[in-house]
Amino acid sequence: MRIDGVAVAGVGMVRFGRYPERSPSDLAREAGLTALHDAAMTLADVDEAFVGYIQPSPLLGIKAMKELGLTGLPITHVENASATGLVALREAAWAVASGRARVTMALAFDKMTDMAGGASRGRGTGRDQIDTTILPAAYFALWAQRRMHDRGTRPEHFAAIAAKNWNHGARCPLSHRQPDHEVTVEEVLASRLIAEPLTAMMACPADDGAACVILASTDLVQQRQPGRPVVLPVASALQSETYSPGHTFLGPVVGPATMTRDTAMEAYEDADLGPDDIDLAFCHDAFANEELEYYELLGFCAEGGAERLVEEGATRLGGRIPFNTDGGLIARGHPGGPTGLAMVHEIVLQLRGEAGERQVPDARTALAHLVGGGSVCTVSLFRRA
Amino acid sequence: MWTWTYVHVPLFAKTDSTVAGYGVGQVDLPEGPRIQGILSGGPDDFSIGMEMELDLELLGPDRDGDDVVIFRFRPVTAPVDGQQR
Repeated sequence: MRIDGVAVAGVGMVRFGRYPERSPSDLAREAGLTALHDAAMTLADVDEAFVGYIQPSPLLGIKAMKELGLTGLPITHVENASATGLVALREAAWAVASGRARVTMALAFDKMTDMAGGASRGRGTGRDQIDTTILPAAYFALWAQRRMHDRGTRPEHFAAIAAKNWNHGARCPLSHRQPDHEVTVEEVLASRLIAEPLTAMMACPADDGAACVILASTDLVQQRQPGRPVVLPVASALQSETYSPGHTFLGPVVGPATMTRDTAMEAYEDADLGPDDIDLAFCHDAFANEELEYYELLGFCAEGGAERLVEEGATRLGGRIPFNTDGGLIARGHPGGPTGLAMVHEIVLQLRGEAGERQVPDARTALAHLVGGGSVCTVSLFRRA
Repeated sequence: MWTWTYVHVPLFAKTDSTVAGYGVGQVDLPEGPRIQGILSGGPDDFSIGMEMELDLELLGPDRDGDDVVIFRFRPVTAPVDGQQR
């Protein structure tokens, strides 16, 4: 889907982490008010809202929006597992692009730490529990084992990506994980083994958090915030699984890795952009080996070239194509619904030139990618006006 | 066996569980479909490309008293009495 005439008016988020004393609505209110302030708007300016979360509770989005005010605006729930935030943004962008709204809000929140309790009932306690309690780590470890078999990839490659993201997080005030020292490959490899070959430091934490992005017609954004660089969402692609040889019929909640290639291709075509045009990228690095696969599938190197990209440090800050400059899911965190909007938050800071010590020089274009269980994949592209 | 892993931290965000680790694999059936499931065996028992067979395991009764059975894959072991076990 190509997006024309839509700009980011404002962004806000709550630093991801553990908030046992705060409700989802409380987290959502803080993110929403921060975004409205950044947009120089109030809720009365917002024509329509799309609220995302993946907690297994109905109505939460409507309740959270009431924290911001009672203006009668249309509110729609959006849920697509880990891809929820970027899909809420897609709907908010289309509502503006279609002309039915001038200002829209994408708001997402989650408390993954509550969900972790829910999943702890254990394998084998009932018919519905058996499959769902295979850990996400296992699904992506299955990719990692096959990659090592096919390409000679070593755990050191995965560890180097994880260490990079931890060290990016150290430079980001909104990152959950902010190590006080340079994280090394050796440290990552020495952390606890979760699922062969993935260790604890190669995995994202379980987080609580909220994030909000306000979109509006480009002319309105320029009028409200004169002189500030304007960031435009220019394309959003969303796909579910397509049948192909090797399709896994029974078991997985993650789709084939190739779903990322097809979805990225669609987004690039819609935006008339290619991988060579992109200045920085964000991906679903819930586990470090995923990021390695996505270097290829998003088109930033040829098939089989991802290991070399890691060895060259091309995806670090200062490298040819920095990935996950805010620490990614591994360091910045991954509450679920808000994750995609946190990516957009960082993209907006980078393209405005407000990213401080992790600023990518003269960043003009960015890509955000997420996969979601079930499964789906989404890719959004952004550029500075 | 197309690919496999062994999960050492058994439950999501929990470390105090009494459930032991378990293997997870994706197995290509002779007819074509690839199936993901739990593996029988320890962390050193698996490798990509090895031949697998299906096990049924009784978990116990559900609320209605019916048996709940799950499938697991396990490596095909040495021939017994001239036939594979």
